[in-house]
Amino acid sequence: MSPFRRHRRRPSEAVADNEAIPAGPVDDDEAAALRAAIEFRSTQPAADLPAAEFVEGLRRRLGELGSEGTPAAVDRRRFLAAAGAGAVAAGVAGVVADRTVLRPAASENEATGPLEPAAGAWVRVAGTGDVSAGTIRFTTGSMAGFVSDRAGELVAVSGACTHQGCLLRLNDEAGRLDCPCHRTAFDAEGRVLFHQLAAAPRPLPRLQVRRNGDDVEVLLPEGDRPHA
Amino acid sequence: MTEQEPGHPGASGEGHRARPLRVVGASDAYSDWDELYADNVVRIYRLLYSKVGNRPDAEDLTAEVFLAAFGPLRLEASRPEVRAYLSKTAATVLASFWRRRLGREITGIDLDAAAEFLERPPPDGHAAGRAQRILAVLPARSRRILELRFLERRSLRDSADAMGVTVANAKVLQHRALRMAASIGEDEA
Repeated sequence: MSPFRRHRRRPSEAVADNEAIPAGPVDDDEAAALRAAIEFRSTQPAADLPAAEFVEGLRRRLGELGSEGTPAAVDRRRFLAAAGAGAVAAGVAGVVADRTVLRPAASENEATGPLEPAAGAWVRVAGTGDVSAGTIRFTTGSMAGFVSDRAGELVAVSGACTHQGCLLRLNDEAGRLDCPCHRTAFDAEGRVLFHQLAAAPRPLPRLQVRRNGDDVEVLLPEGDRPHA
Repeated sequence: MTEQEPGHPGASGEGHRARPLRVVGASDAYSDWDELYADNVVRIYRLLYSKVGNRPDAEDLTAEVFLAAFGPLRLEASRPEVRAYLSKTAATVLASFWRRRLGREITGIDLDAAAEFLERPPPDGHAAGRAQRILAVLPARSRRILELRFLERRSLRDSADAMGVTVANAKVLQHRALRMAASIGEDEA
């Protein structure tokens, strides 16, 4: 008799729901079904990309492990320069608790100032209620962008990947902005979460954004209008 | 049951002493740990996701791999050496996961294939063609339940509603369809 008749959820059902595989023995029948479920689940586009908070959380965890016994407020660049070969002995000590997840390509840390049109006008792109529920995407005649409410502060970023300009997609479930062209993802504040390019792309340019009553407005080139 | 030879000395312990990667001073070595992590975390996560098919377990195993590997890993190692080490650690971590969780190994990591996967991560949905070929030869209702559950990511209840059957029937349909898919997949392999 199948061990799943009454009490236990089948592991293959859990995989179909993208949930953790429940513990317990499985017979050959379920083992084969589970292998098929794993294959189907993992071959779906973008299913196998990690969530932003996981990538960041693990990086922080590794940093905390490595920073045990090191001063908390060590500047990253000075620390790495001073560590040099010593980082080998220090093990994970080089992974320190800042927000950088990127390879240190020359372009990585270049500050990208907020996009400021030569002649701009504040234009409504969303209602304040829309952004309180999460990140929203908007497009206009000249650009695409994302606006989100980060702990009460509005943040708007360009919606074009800084690698080759592909328009980013909002991945609500994973909390990130995905580039459909290459394996690159940004967070809602424009930082690169991960990439598999030869060099890290630059962060997304910020757009100027403000609350105006119940409206969320972005500074756009004069005459530009959001699409409905 | 297939047992995976423990590849990472720190991961499952007994009888295996930690042996750090040798220092080679490779020209393509990582410049810091941030870079090593950023360059490999997605590769390792994808590799493990392809073996467990769900997010919570893939996250736990990825974390386990990095936590186990970061101690012995050395920055001076070349990138292929780092990836080979991470692959071995992932193989050990995965084998141990299956033993703990189900008491038998469901999927394993072939080190050569893993090295290729990590060096040149396949494009998104690279194996979707094989899944589509398998779906295409299934009977209509079996194909439909798998499309609903895996391609459209619908819940069991939604899928049952869409097919006009009870949730219990949808469960049975899904299980049978997966069994059929497994046997077609084995033939194709």
